Parts: sequence; C-alpha cells; structure tokens
Amino acid sequence: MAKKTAIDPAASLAKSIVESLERRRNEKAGYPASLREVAQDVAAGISETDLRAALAKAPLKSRCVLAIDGDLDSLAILNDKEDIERLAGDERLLQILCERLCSPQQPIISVKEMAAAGVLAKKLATPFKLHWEERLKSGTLPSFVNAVQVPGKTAKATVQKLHDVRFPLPWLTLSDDLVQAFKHSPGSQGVIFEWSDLIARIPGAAHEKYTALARASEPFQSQVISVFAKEPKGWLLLSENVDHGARDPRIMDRIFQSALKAGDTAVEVAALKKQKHLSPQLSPAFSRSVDEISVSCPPGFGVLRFAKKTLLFRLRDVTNCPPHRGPLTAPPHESVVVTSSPIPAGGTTFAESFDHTFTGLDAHDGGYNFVKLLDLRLALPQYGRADFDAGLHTLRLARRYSLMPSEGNGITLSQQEHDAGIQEFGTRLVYCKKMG
Amino acid sequence: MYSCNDDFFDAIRGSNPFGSDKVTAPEDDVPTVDSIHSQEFEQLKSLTLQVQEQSRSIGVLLWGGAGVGKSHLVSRLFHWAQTEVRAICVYLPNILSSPQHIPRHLLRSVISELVGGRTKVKQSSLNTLLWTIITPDGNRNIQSKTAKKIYQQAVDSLEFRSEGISAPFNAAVFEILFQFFKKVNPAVVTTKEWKLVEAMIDWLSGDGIEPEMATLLGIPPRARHLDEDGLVRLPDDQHIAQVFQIVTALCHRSGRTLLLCVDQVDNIGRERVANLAAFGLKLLDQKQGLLLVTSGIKETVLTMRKDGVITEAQWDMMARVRIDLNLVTAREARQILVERLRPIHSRARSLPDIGAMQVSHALFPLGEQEFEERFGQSPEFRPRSVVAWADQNWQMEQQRLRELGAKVWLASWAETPPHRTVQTEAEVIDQAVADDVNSRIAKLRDSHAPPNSDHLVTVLELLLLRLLEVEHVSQHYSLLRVRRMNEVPRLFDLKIEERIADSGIKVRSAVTIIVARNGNSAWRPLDRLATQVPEEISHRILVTDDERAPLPSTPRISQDYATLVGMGFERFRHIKLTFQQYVELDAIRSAIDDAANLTIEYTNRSDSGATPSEVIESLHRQDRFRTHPLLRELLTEPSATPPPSPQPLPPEVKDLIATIIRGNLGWKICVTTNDVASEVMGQPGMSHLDFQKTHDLVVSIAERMESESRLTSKVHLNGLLLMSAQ
Repeated sequence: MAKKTAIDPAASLAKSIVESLERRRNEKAGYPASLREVAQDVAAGISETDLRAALAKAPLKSRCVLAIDGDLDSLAILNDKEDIERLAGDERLLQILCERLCSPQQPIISVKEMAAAGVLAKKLATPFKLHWEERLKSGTLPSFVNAVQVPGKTAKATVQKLHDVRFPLPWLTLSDDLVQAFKHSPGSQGVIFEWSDLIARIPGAAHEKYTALARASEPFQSQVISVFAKEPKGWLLLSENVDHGARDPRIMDRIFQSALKAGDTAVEVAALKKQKHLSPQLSPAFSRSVDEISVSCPPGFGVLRFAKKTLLFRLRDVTNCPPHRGPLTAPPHESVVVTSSPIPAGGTTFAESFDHTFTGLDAHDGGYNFVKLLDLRLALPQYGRADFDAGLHTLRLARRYSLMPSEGNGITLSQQEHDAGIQEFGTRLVYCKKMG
Repeated sequence: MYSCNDDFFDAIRGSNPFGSDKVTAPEDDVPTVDSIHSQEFEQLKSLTLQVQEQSRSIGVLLWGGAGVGKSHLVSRLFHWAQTEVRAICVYLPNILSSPQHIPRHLLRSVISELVGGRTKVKQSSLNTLLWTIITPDGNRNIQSKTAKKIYQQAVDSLEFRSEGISAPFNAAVFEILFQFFKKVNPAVVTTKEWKLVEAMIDWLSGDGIEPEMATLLGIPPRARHLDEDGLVRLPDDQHIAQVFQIVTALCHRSGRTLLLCVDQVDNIGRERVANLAAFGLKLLDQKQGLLLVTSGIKETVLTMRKDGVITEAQWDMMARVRIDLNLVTAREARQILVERLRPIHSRARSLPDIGAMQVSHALFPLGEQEFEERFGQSPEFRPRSVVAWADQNWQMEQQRLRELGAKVWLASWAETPPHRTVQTEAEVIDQAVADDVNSRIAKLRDSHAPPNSDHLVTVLELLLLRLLEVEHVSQHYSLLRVRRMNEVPRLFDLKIEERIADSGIKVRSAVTIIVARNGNSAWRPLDRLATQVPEEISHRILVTDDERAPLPSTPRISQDYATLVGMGFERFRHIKLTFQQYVELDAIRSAIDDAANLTIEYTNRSDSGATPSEVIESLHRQDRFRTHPLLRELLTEPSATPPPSPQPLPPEVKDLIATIIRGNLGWKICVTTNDVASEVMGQPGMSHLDFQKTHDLVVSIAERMESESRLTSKVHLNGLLLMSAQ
C-alpha cells in the first residue's frame, strides 16, 4: 500500500495565496496589494504566525516579492520583471518610503538615498531608482512630494531631490528662525547684527548647507538686509528698522572711513551721500541721515563749516576737549552693550525662563499683556532680586519687555506689589508687558 | 528764514516749542517723528480705510501708560484722515454727562462737531457731506427739486437696520437733514430760517424742542416723545442710536468713515464707562462705516474689564482691535526734541553765529550733556517726560537770555549750563497746575463743545465730590455734602449742604442749572426752583451760561424769576457764568481728574504725575476756588471774606504779549489768541493773571499789530487766529 503524503497546511496556504495573487493580476483588480490582504482572500482571519509560515513555503517564497522585506503589510507582487517594475512605480510605495524615511528634521531626500536606505526589497531598488528619477526629472510627481533643487557638493552644483510636503522646507524654517532670532535678540532693534552672531543663535545652523537658500527665502529675504551690498555675511539689519539702523554710528564710521582721503581727518558731508557700499535698500535712509547731520550729529562725530563746506570729523581725532555742553563721548544709549542674561545651573537663560513665565502668567490672566512684577518674581524664585532686575534690564534694553507704573484712577497696590516694583527716576514700575 | 539774530532771540524769548506736553485736541499742531509709533499709525489708517471699503464698523481700543502718546496718535490719524478726505472726525475727550445721558451726550457732541459748533454751518462737515452726496462733481448750481431727487435716490440706496424704529421716523431724520441743507446754503439765512435750523440741530442732537416747532419740522406724531419739560425730543437710546446710524450711513455714502474717538475714558468713572460700553455695542452693531476709537490708561481700563464694568460682549466689539503703545527709547526721545526744534533751527541756519551753534550742538539751545544725564541711563521713557524736561530747560534759557542779554547769553551758552532757580516742590507743582489749567481753558475756548446743562451739572457735581475727598478742603471751606437729584421730574439739580463755622448750623441749598435757548426748556426747571423746593432747603441758587445761553425772557419765566428775586438776596442767588467761567470749571475739574498725566519736573520726584489731592491743594494755594463766582458761592459761607479783586495786569505784560506773538509767528504758521494768553500766563510770575483779562489784552495788542501790518488775523471760535503778515 502506498504511503500517504502528509498535507502541509502552510504549503497549501502558500499555494492558494499565489493563486490569489495570479487571479488578482489577471483580473487587474487590487493588485498589487498587501500580502495580508491577499491572504484574507483564501483564509479569512489568518493569523500572523500562519501567514509567516506560508511565506516560508514554496511556491509563495519564490513567487512573491514583498516591497519591504518581512513586512506583511507592505505591497506584494509576483516575482516577474514586469510586476517588479509595476510595484517600483506604484505611488503607494513612494508614500510608504516617505513616511518611513522623512521627518521634520529631514524633509528632503533623493531617490537614490531612498533606494539605498535598506528599506526596499533588493529586487526593487534599481527599478525604483530608475522609475522615480525619471518621474523627478519629468516633474510628474504625486501630490505628497515636490521636486526641489538643493546645493550639491560644490558651490555651484545643485541636485534635485524629493521634498515630503508634510514638513516645511528646511531653509524656510531656517529663514524664519533667523528672522525671529534677529527680532528677539537683545539689541536687535536698530542695532546692526553680524551674520556670524546671528547664525550662532540657531543650533546647528552654522553647519547647515541651506543658509544661502534661507537668506534667499522669505521671510529673511524681505525682512533682513545686508548693510553692505557685497557683504551678505557681514552686518545685517531688519528692514523695518532701516531708518533707525541707518543712523547707527558704526555705519557712519565705515562710510566715513571709506570716504576719508589719505592724511585727512575730515570728510565733506556731501561726499558721504555718494557712497556705493551700502545696500540699495539702506542708501536712501542713510542719505536722509546725512542730510540731518547738521541738526543731529552722529555720536562720536562733530561737524564744522569751513569755506562754505560742511565737514564731518571724529571727535577722537580732535586734540582739544569739546565744549562743556556738547556730547563728550558717544551717548550711553547709542552704544548699547548687550550682555548675556544670567544663566542658572539648569542651563536655561534668564530670557528663556522669563519668556516662558511671562507667557504663562499672561495667558492665565486673560492675555492682556500686562503682568505684575510681583507675580513674575514669585514665579521665578531661582533668581535673586539683583539677577532678576539685571536680566529684565537687559530685556528692556533689547526692547523685548517694557515696564509701567501704576497710574490708574482709584487703583491701590498692595504693599507686596509695591515692593516688587523697580524704582527708576522716582517712578515705581510695577507692571510688565511684552513688546510686539 | 530769519533775517537777523534778533528774530532768533525773539523766538527763544517769546515762544516755546516744548510748551505743550499733551495733546488736548486733535487739531493741535504737534510736530511728529514719523518713525515713532509708525506701525500703530499705519494700523489705524488701514482700519479707517477698511471700515469704508468693507462697509463695516470696527471698535478699537487704544491703550497704554499716561503720556505715552495716545492722544498724539489720534491727532496724527485725524490729520491724515482730514487731509486725505477719508473720514469725518469727531474727538471727544473726557466725556462728561450724567451716566444715563451718555448716549445723548455723545450724539450732541457729534452733531455739534458736524455743524461746526453752529458758527459756520455752511463750511461744516455736515453741509459738506450733504453736498458730496447731492453733487459729487462739485457743481453747486443745482435746482432744489433736482437736489431732492438725487438725495432721495441716495437715501433709498442706503443700507441700515431699523429694528424697532418706525419708517416715518427714519424718513423724518432724512427730511430734516435735507431741510438743513436747503436752509443753510442760500446766500442769506433769515432769522426765522435760522431758528428752524437751530431747532433741527437741537432735535438731531437729542435736545428738546417745542411741540409747535416739531410740527413745523414735520416730525411724525409717533416720534414726538415729550420729556419732563413738555418738549419733543428723541425718546430713548434706540432712537439716538438710529440717528447715529443714519449720520454714519450718510458719511459712508459720501465716501468717508465716521471716525469717533472717545479719549481719556479712564477719567470718566465706572458708571459712565458701563453706559458708554453698552451704547458702543449698539453703535458697532451697525453695518456701515463707524470707526470707534476708545482710548485710555491701560491699568484703569483693564481693571474695569476685569471687574465686569465692561461686559465680555461689549469688550469683544469695542476692543476688537487693541493697540498698545510703547514708550520711547533715548534715541527716539532725542528725535522728538530735534523735530520740535526743526522749525526754529531751519529758519536760523543761515545766521552765521546761530547756525554754527546749531551745527555744533544739535539740541541748541538745550544742552546735550544735560539730555544725556537725564535720559542716557534708562531703557525707556514717556514722550511727555521728554518734552516736559525740554520745556523746563527752555524756560531756564529764556530766563538767562532775559537776564544776560542776547550777546552775552550766546557767547556764554556753551560754557555755562543753566541753573535751575531754587524752587520748593509746592512752587513747581503750582506752576505745573496753573499751566495745565490755563492750557485746558485755552483749548476749551477754542472748541465746539456745546453748552449743556447736564454737562455743567456733572462737571460741578464731580468737582465738588472730588473736593470733599480731600480732608484739607474741609478745613478751609464750608462744604459738607453734595447730592445729585435724579427724581423725575427733578425739583432741582444739586443739593448742597454747608456748615456755618461759628454756629455749626447746617445750611442746605438747591442748585438749578439752566442752559437753554428756548423758553419752554428754561421755564419748567425755573418754575420748580421757584415753587417746589422743600421748606428745609433755605437757599436757592440758579446758574446760567449767560454768554451763550442767557435765561430766555418769556412772561412765565419773568414771573417765576420775580418770585425768586422776591425771596431776597439771602435766600436766592443767580450766578451768571461767562463762557470763560464755564470752561474754567471744566478745566479745573479735568486737571484734578487727570492729575496722573501732569508732568512735574522736580528732583527725585516720581514722573508718574501728581495725585488729585496735590492738584486740589495747589489750586487752593492759588485761590482758584474762591475766585470763581460759582465755587465761591458753593464752598464758602455767605459772610466769608471775599477774595481780593484781581490785580490789574502789570505794565510789562504788554511787551511780553507782543514778544510772544512775534516769537510764535516767527516759526509757526498761526497761533490763536487763547494760546497766546495761556503762554503769557505760563511765564514766571504771571500765573495769577485773570485769563479773560489777559486774553482781552492779547486781542487788543494783536489788533494794534495788525494795524501796523505786522500780522493778519481772523475770527476763530472764541478768539482770533493770528497769522504772519509775510
């Protein structure tokens, strides 16, 4: 009597799944689909263990290709050249790869990087690369990705990559971060900032290759201008502060220096307006400040009239003292020294703690932007009075916060509220507000 | 350009570009540094345009600390809106009326502004906007019938809500506005026609008119609500809001926003703010073209919001846009000074000596060293403190210039900083308070504020209540208690209780204030004063605005007046206020309530202004209460020693007035005689002068200078507008 061959349920299932795959392909319906979905055709409610067992059996093992090795939910096709190419070009595959490989930190990726990331099945890597590079080149991409040009290995070379639209472009983020850092940095109001100082305020940005793109993107492009046209990585100024910034004594000093002829210590005021160094956005405001020199002399400079000419000179070049009532030196407020905020042991700066606390207290109070100093002091006990006052003074110099006295009719402060105030020129300042 | 150094010295001696550190009227010509609060200014401009373009109404809350520049910003906005013909602007500082009459007071003020205070109705905003609607092309040759047809078409095209308001009422308002247009534009307006126009303005303002006049004006019977005096007037807040809505819609139709600014709301008291907010909600709920800007000190306004004085719904509408003004930096402070100095500097630039000083010292004749000492150390300042500092330093230079003579002063200026004359704190406060009151008087005299009994009663009530808060006052005056009467009908307006010092007897007085142009309005309250005051009240005091609205002379009024006079001088007094005395009450009251905004430059003193008590004590030291006839009557016993008669004006004041006129016209386009009088009284040792007498002298000297072709002038509200002859 012939020996009966034992029936292997996993092999039987494997055979049925392959048949189901073939049927789906022939009927051109639901193909490619995930292996788990196809298996449901032949064994409803199949367990993961049974499915994996089937996958290890012929003919499924050799006839089926999973888009992502071992992932039962990834798309499955029959192991034919035509089918592999079909899966490589399936937009769902690209979307799955984007979801796996892209993040807010890495919203951009090349097709090559995707193919080589070790996620795709080996058989798919090359056709995937060929298909999507072609689509990238032709600009026929699905809506969840965009094509972007990013800097290549050399300064002039660019590479085309895919951008996962769920995440903002890094240079746009950087552009916005730079502008925000500029606006909220101590001393930024009307004070010139060095590019290197600014970029240092964004963690990791100095090593980013997107800085050029960030400078050319909004909001940086329209809100920040280079003081000198040919020095994009030199001094910067917020465009909203052009009038203010054009009066910065350092700009006058540079222009004065460039206009100075060898051996001279004075420059004809009219000549200053002929300068070509400043960026075009700044030049008109600078010209206006030059027009005002006779009534509003820049700090550190003096003006004299000689032979019908108005001449500008540096006070430091004058050997005799100026008259008693003139400015002896650059006024203190013209050369704001931006000092670092006190840093507690935890590593958070005073400015950060203060911002955070103010925002919380203000929100709790209804968002009227009017918080009592007493509440702020109580919420920031880690800072002693001197540190608190010094830190707040710095923030005020940077025009980030402003203080106000109690002056309303019929309002009486408690002794604590009064004591928490800061006395300044005879006024007790008890309220704090954030400046917009 | 100044032709010689003396012109420049005249400017220093006779004018002060820092003399005004607060804006009390939007027409104040205050120099502006464009970059300061520029973002907020642009936002307000944009909102004004949005209101017009999008046919909506928007509420804006403009808030910040005292002296930060709120009123200045409003002034900038008004100037822009009027220059660009974008809005009809109405500025209402410190609105005062009884709380329940706030809507009526607002309407009255707006209509008064729209009709140019009734003095120049042809040139008034209301007439201009009606012309714009009727003949947009500016053609003024138009037949009455055609005008009516076009007007009616425009009216029919307007969109506005009428819930609870009858169509005949709306039609009556439109018809009265057209009749106003018809009657004020002929070359000659007869007395009879003018009476009709006045009645129209009264009714549109929410004031009562006689029933016969209402019939003549075609006011429908259903809208003829009779008040307690038997006069026809707008019955309630809903109808008042409807007139507002119609006026706003017409403004919108003429291409302009109605820009209404209620300033200093922090000073008007919580009950008034509550009523203002309730009415503001009604106004903003309209569809068309109102930009309602409410302005005040942040701390007070916020407290009222948190305490529920302003409800959430009201807040959402009135403070839909909140604009919070920031203080200025030292750099901006310097710009303010440079800007204010610019008119004088630019005229003196070609003078060799002076021009050279200006080149070396940008703030000349103010010292940069002193500026740095005062402002170099702190991150932020109130603009008002900066101007007050400059004002004081300018005055010191004026003093030195007078003492040393021009040549020595100029030669020694650079080497010698000015020495502040040693003054006590009280002296400094007195000078600041006197300047403040006088400048308020000058502004009130130059305004279109309509005479109104409710307003005057409120001013008097608040002033007396303030005085009672100060213990110091009770030592010097007999006033014990003040009570406003609110019963309907009111037998009188205020009940005053005084104590006779020697005997300790309490004496009560009934005060009735009548500011009315027609007999019916005036008769009822007078009759009640004459016949219905209870026995326990032994004194009756009648107060009238004798210059603008004297007691009408009808048989019934004459009879009651004779009854009152017959009671004898001990039991009845009639205080006839001049316009000057009327505005002085308001100026004193507002100076006390606005004490926080007073800038007092004194060593180690807070720059948070003064307290109401300090201002009251200062006014007492200056004898401002006893010298006012009404306050004297209410604050002192009948037998109290009368104040000394005002001293005659010192002879040197004539030269001073001429210098001030020359100094101002040397760099300003024009100056009013009221402002000159205020500046004269701001000079050292002149604050005790009588404003009216000083003003009269200013007018006479200005007329003499005009006869010598040194200036030109024209009548301007309650004084003259002086302009350079060049």
